Amino acid sequence: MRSGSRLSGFTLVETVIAGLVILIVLSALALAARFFFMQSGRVEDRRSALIVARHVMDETIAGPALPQPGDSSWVQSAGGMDYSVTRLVGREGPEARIVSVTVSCGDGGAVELTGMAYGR
Amino acid sequence: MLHYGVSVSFDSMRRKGKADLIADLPRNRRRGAALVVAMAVAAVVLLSTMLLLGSIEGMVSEQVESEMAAQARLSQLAAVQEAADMMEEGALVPGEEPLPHLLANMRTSLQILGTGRSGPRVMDLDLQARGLGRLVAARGFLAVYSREGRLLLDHLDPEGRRSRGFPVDAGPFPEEWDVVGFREGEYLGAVLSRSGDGCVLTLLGRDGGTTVVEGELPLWRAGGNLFSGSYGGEPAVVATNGRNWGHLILPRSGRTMYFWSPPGTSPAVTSDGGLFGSLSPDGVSGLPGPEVVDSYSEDVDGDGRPDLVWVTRGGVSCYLEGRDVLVTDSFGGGTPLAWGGLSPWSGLAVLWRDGRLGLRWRRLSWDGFVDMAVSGAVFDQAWRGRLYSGDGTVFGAVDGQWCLLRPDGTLSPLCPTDDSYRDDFDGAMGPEVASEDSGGIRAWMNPAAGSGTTVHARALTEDGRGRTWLRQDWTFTVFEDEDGEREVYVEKRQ
Repeated sequence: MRSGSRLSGFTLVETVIAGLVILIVLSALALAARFFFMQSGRVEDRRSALIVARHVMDETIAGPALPQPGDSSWVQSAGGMDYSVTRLVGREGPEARIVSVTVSCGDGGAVELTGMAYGR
Repeated sequence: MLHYGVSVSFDSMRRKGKADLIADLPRNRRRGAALVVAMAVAAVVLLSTMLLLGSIEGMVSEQVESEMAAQARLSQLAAVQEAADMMEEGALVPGEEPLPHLLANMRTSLQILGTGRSGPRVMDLDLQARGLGRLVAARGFLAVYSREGRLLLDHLDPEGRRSRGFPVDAGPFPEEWDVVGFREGEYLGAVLSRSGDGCVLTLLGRDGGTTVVEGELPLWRAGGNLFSGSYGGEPAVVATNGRNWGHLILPRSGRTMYFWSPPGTSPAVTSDGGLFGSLSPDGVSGLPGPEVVDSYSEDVDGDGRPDLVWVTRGGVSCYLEGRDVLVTDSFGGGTPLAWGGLSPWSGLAVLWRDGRLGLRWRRLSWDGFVDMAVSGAVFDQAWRGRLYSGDGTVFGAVDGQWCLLRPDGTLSPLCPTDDSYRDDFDGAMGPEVASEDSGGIRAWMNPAAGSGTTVHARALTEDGRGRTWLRQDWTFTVFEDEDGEREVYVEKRQ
C-alpha cells in the first residue's frame, strides 16, 4: 500500500518545479495576451485614423476649390471614436498647395499623410 | 501510459500477478512525469505566445504597409498632377520625362512608354437618360429631370464628378419651364417655371441650396429662351419671348423689368456687365421681331472681346461689343443653314440657301458681311446649325449627326443630333456634345479643338530605401487649340 501510494503520485519536488514552470509560462502567456490586445487595439485605432486621414485628404485635394493656406484642427468621429484632426495647408505656388493631415489616435500615436492640391 | 498497459500480454499477467505488474512497469517511467507534463504545457503555452506575438507583428507591419501605400498614392498623384500642370503651362513638352518628384520621403519618377494621337476625349457621365429634360452648361453639367412628377436637378463638375448637395428636388414638375446655367458667381443655374398667372425663378446655389424669386413675366415663352449673365455687378437672368422682347430679372434685389432690342436680335446682357437693348416700364404683345433660332456670345471680330450673334430664319445679326455696332445680313428669300466660326477663314461664316443662287457662303468682314470665296472639303459638307472650328478641325451637324471634319478632309460622325445636348460644359476650348447612350449619357469633350497628343507613362514611387511602393501606368492627353491654350487630362490605365 505504501509502495503503491508513492508510485501513483508526483513527488513534492516534481510538483513544485512543475508548478513553477507552469506559473512562469502562464505569466508569459498573460503578458503576451495583454500585449496582444493592447497592440491590436492600437493597430485598430491607427487603421481607423488612417481612414479618417485619407477621407480628409481626399476632401481637401479633390474639392472644387483650391484649399486656403492655413492651419485648422477639429475632432472627427468615426466608428464610435473621436479623432483629433490637424490640417496644415501651405502655399507651393499660385495654383498649388501642400496639404498635411495628422490624425492622432490616443496611445497609438498619430497618422500623418502629405499630399498636393493643384488648381485646374 | 496507455501504451504500456496495452502491450502487456495475458500470459505474463498470469505468471506475475496484477499488483507486481503495475508496480514494475511504470516505476521508472513515472519518475519526472510531472515535469514532462509541465514542459509540454510550457511548450504549448510558449507556442501560443509566439503565435500571438507573430500575429501582432503581422498586424503592425500590415498597418505600416497601409500607411506607406496611402502616402505613396498621394505622392504619385502629386507627381502626375504636377507633370500635367507643367504640360498645360508649356513647361514640359509632351513626351519628355519630367524630373523625379519628391513628397513626404517618397520619390516618384515618370518613365515615358510612348506617345500617340487621340480623338476627342469621351466621358461617360454619371447621369441617367431616363427622365432627362435638358442638360446645360453650368460650370459643369446641370441636368434637369422629371421623376415621378417632381423636378429633379443634378450636377456634375467639368471632370464628371458629382457635386456635393446634389441631386436637388426643386418641387413639382411644371408644365412650362426653362433652365440656364451661370458661368460665374454665386449661382450655378436657374429654372424658370410658370405657376398660374405668375412665374417662379428657382436659383440653384453651388452647394445645392435653392432660392426662389416670384414675379410676373407675361412675355416669356418657354423653350430655350432663358439667358444668364451679370448686370451692374449682380447676377441677372433674361427671359425672352424668343424674339426681341423679354424681361430682365435681378434676383438679388428681386427686381423685374421689361427689356427689348431691335428686331432680329434678342435683349441680352453683355460680357462687360452692360445691356444690349433697352429697359422699358411696359411690354408689348405685338411681337414685331422675327423669331431667333440661335443666339450666342463669342469673339467673332478677333478683338478679344465676346460679341453677340443672333440667327433668325431670314437673317444674321451681330453686335460687336468693342466697336458698339450692330451688323446685320439678310437678302430676300435667303435662309441661313449653318453659321459659326470657321478658322482660319472667319470668326463668323454663314452658309445661306438663296432662292436664286442656291447655296452661298458669306462671312463677317471689317465692313460687314461679304461673299466668301470658298474651296476645300469644309465647304462641301451639308452643314446645318452652329459650326465650331479649331486646329483645322470643324465640328457641326451633318445629316442628323454631330460630325468632325478633320484637317485631312475625313468626316467622322460622333453621335445623332436627336436627344443630344451641345454646350460648353467645361467652360474651355469650345463646346462639348453629350448624347444619350445605352440609358446613360456620353460626352465628347472639346471636339472642335482637334485631336490630342497622348502620352503613356509609367510612374514608380519609391521610399528612401529604394523600395517600390506603387507602380502605375498613366495616360496624359494633351489638347491644344490654335491660340496655344492647352488642356491636359490624366487617366489611370488599367
